[in-house]
Amino acid sequence: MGSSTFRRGVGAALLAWAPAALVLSLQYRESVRLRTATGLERLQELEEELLETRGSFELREEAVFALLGEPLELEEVEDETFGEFLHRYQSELRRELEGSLREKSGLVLRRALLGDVDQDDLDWGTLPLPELVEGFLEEIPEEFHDQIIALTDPKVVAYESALGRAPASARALAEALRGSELLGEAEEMEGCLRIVAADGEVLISSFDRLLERHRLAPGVQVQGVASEGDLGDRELFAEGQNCLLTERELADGGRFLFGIPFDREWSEIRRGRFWRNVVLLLGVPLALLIGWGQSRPVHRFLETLRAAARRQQRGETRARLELYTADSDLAAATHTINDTLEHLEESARVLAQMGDSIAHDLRTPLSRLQGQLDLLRRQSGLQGDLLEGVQQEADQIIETFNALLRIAQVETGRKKQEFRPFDLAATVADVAELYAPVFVDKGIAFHFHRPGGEVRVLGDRHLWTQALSNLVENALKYTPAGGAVELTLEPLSPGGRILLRDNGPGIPESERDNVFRRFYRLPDHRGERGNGLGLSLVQAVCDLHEATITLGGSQGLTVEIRL
Amino acid sequence: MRILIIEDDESLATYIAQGLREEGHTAEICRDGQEGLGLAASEAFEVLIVDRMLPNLDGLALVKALRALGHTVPVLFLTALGDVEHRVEGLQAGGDDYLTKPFHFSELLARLESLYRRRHQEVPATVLRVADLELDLLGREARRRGRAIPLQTREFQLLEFLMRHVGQVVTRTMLLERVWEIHFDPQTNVIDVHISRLRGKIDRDFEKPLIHTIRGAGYVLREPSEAS
Repeated sequence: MGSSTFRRGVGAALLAWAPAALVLSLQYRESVRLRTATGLERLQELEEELLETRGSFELREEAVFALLGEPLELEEVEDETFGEFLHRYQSELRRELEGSLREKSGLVLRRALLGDVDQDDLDWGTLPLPELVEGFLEEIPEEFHDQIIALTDPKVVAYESALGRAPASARALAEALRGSELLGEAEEMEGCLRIVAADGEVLISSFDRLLERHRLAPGVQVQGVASEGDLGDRELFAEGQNCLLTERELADGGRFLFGIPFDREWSEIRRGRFWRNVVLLLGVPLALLIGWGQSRPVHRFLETLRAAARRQQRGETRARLELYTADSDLAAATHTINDTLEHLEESARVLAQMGDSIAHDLRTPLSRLQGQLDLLRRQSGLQGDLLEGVQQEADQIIETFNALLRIAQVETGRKKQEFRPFDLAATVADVAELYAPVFVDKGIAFHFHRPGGEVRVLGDRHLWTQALSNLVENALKYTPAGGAVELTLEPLSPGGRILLRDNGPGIPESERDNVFRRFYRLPDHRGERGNGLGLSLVQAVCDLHEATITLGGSQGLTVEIRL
Repeated sequence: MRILIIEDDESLATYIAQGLREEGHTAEICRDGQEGLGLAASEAFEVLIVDRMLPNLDGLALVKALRALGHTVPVLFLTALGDVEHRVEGLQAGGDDYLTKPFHFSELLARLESLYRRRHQEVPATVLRVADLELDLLGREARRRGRAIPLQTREFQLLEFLMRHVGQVVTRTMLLERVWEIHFDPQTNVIDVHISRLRGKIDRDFEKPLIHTIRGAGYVLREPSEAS
């Protein structure tokens, strides 16, 4: 890849992050305020301020955070219904945002490895945030308008403008920011903020300290950063003094530049949120920058990176880069990327939890439905086909729903806390014992081979019972009468290997990855009973226990689990 | 039975109460945790149905408080939290059984009957007898009309459970939970298959069958003299 294209790409990645910088500044401001809240006096001040501004400023800030996908403190929202609305909306927003971040980072990583990054890939600004923001404002029920913000509030308009939602004007933005605390506090934290109108007039500039500290000549270097995409990692990361500069072109041709140092008081900044953003901002470009400058260790590093990317694509969200220690820059990059992966995994967990709560909310209406059906059956005294049919459909919905809920619960990883050592041999034997007579009834020969002693493993016994039951039930379903099914458990040190072999129709090699997807049914089996979730649960249980599952077999199907 | 339903979902509580009344029971509804505790502590109910999530006082705290006050009335938890650990929590708090929403009314009814009878019948015994069927819990042996019937471990447990609940409907889910310790619904009719094997051993060669299928509900083991 050409170095200039590459650098431009990296530059663009940073530039597109102006909105994130705004969030950072707000977060930073909050942490500054918290830090300096020493003594009763300051506390009282804060309390007064809170009382005064409650319902206006707080809500406004909340709204801005909501717009940008930051958590809402719902205690601050007095109206319950509205709080609920905000909460749901925000969940949605986060989901979208995280989803696209995840997708995007995967894409960039993949293409970077192929040496094929272009500017569009790195343009994080194409995230669908503006659309969502628009949706948010439109979706606020009218009766809440006066509760939250006047929709013409200059501060909000300014943020929206910076996000590209409305035609932004450098003057409007400068005007809005001039009256706000943001400017003073940007100074306070030695950051910089600069707004230049399209005609070149500097509307706001508070650069000096930051630029001085980084020995950047005002104007020239900044211009360089902005338009050439020349980050010059030495300037940016010299002597452990890191800063982040971002610039964004406004709709009227003006420019908005924002910078903050983040070399100081790391630990005091609430780590998660800040670090997460920084990682997303710098992780991949940083790794690529460093990698580009050097060669052999870099080659190895890229190999690792490639392997990690592949594992991520396979859904091994727990996979991390191995620490490469010979080179401190690479070690730093490794950490950065690992932190990014950590964040991605966390996002997936958030998603899973959300599914959980949605499913949970569905239980009540489903219970009512079941109650009404029971009542109808009793009252009408009918045992008619129609009613039976409805009941069967309801049962099917409930079954699917329970299966989904269970998968979601497993995927949150919370069950890890319940892990206990148990005898896998006994669990497998129980499942074998449970189904053995069913095989006999179907005319299928069933053999279970268990080891002599115990097979101690750490995990959730109940989940393994269910996962194994799902697998055995599949074998039952797809093995024809006269067939044979064999279940084997072998001890490994540590852990064990479970092998379930049938001589049914098997699964074509091209479909073996698909069958783990939710609701996926093999084309030939779509008409049959079942919800297409059985193997998804098995997969989730394996993932939770860091076990591997492999489908194989040329005659029939062989399922192998190693844990 | 006199039953108190402490459940804040109005329509669900109404369905339950209506169903119970149709079965000849007395049912009262309370939609608030605190009030429910007051009622349960001051009046003589024979079984309580308690939702886990209630306004003012959650179901878990309610039952803990009731037990702390010395009340031993059987409690069935009704809940939208269906996980195994929630179940354990419920039982540790002093609940006697745990049913996850959504459920079939027949399932609820069978469990309530079981709770009610357990309280009134349970006596320590070393031999269970129903008609001419005998189950020797110490010798781990089953006999019918004096003839020994060889049973596998699980068949023995299944029969023991049915005999301990003689005359009561037991559902497939109850059998899965209590005999196999399984807390999910298998897609295949495993329970029916196991019951049919057990029948083959204890009923087939005898004139009067003891195990009966109750359509839409489950199974019952009963004395031949009891009318169906």
